[in-house]
Amino acid sequence: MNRPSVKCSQLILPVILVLLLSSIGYAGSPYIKSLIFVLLMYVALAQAWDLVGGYLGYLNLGFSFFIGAGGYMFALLHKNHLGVLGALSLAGALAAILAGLLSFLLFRLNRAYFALATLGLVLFTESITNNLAIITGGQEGLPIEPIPGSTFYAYYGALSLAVLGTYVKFKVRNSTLGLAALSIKDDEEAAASLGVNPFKYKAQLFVVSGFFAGLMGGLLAIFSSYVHPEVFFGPRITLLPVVMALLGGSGTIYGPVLGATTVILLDEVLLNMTPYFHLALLGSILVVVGLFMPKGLLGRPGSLRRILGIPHGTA
Amino acid sequence: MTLDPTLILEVIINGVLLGGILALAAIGLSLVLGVTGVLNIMHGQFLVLAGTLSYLIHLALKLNPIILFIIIPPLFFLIGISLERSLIRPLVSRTQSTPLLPSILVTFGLALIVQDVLTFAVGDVAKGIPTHFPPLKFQGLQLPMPKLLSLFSVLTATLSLWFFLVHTSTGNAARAIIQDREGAMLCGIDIPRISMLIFGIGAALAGLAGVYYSIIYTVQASMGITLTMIALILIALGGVGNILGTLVSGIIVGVTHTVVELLLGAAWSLPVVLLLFIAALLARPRGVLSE
Repeated sequence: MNRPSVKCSQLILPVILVLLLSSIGYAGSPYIKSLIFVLLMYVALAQAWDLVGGYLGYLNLGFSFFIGAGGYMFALLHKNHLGVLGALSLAGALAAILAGLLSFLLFRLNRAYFALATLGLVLFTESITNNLAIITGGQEGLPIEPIPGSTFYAYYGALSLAVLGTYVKFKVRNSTLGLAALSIKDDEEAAASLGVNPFKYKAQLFVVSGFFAGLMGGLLAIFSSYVHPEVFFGPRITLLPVVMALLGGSGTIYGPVLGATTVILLDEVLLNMTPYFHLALLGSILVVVGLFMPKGLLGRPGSLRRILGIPHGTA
Repeated sequence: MTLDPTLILEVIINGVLLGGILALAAIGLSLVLGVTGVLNIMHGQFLVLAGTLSYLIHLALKLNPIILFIIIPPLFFLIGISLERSLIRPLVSRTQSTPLLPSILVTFGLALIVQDVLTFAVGDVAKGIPTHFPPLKFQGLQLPMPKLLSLFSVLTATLSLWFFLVHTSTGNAARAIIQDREGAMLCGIDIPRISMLIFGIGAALAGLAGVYYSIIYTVQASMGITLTMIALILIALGGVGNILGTLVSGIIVGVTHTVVELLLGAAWSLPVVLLLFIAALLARPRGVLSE
């Protein structure tokens, strides 16, 4: 099996980037810090989404189910006086367990109906969260008691998850799991007939993806110091990771990073002009990607790939 | 709670009516899915758009609501046809064998655009056309007149649709494509033409359902995607291209919706219906296209 090794020169840019981002977390203004936090959060989420969306070709339109599960789990545990790190790890664990259980149900479906079932799942969870006001605070949301150094936790947590997510994407790609996923994406029946157990690999990637989302949900809860159905299950957080991964180049290692950066910058520019049309922006990106560039920005050979100097087969 | 006969009758009428209207929209979605292989997530948005348009026309011109039934469906037929020509056809021809997944992406994007622009233009608030018909009194029971009339016309519309599919050559061609696309092509059926026509009819049906919705209930910008999902439940239960099956499953969903609303409150009917949606998909794991 061909396992490409990482050259030192390929690590220079990422390392500089991470150092730069770490120092911003230390010295940046609150505006810059929160903008970069959101960016890092979405890099982590888009990478986690892409483990299933890009590597397996299963479109998870209900990804925020895990983000919300993590966020609400964190809020409820913290309310009951559990420490930040304890609550955070349990939030991640819960999301991973939920992903494991759901994979038994969801992976019985073909790709199209998987997409619809996940979308249905998140709409269902959002309305349940709105209704069960005794536990979740309903439409009022649930405030989280002030955590000392919350921005610090959230910022560096998001940075670690973004780096880790990208690393996992790279690691998985060059592993048995990644190759199996690729064969499942290409032709599930053929892969199964050659001895690949599709369910096993699909469930593994789904659990890892859910775990990341759950942790990130917990970090978002820390950062925003409250949880709310709209914020954790709403269309924005549900769709942004999908849009980013697809725009950047689904199934590539740096695609979601590029997609997240592009979308967050576009969104920020739009926000400075008008409070409206943010969903429409996401919708337009979906339409354009779906109609004209199914492989995303990094997927077109010879275009951005060459400009950025990323050789074929590595990104 | 005592079982009051008026209440039971009302629940049945309301449930069957809701089911009939949903079935109209679902049949449109199901024909499009069967004939073109495109799953149009925009479909619910057609309904919302038609409902909002009806409301605005009614507000501006104070016309008799019945005129809306003459204006809106043809208008949406044209909208459907132009959407098919401009966006759906290139997508289908690019993704020869499997337009399903990319079509979800593109039509989902379109649905978001429409929802957002609609929210910007008229706000994300419930809009309905007020009607004033005296209730029909029958042996001490009070029956709401607009609902009875609508029920009658919804059933008529469904039956004429069934007649169109089974007893006209265009309808037969559409059914042939649903059953066996390549076979239909070999028989000389003009698939692009039928696809365009069916897309128009699908949009017109959603438009018609939208008019009913704005008169009997209310429409709201953000409910489009949920409506598409409800339509998909009916298709999953009833089968693609199966009009009577879709009508029956529509009535099941409609009555469930109404009963849950009555017993647990309006906030719970949506989660129960969504749960039904997930269950319906899981019951047909190979997708609703399989028989």
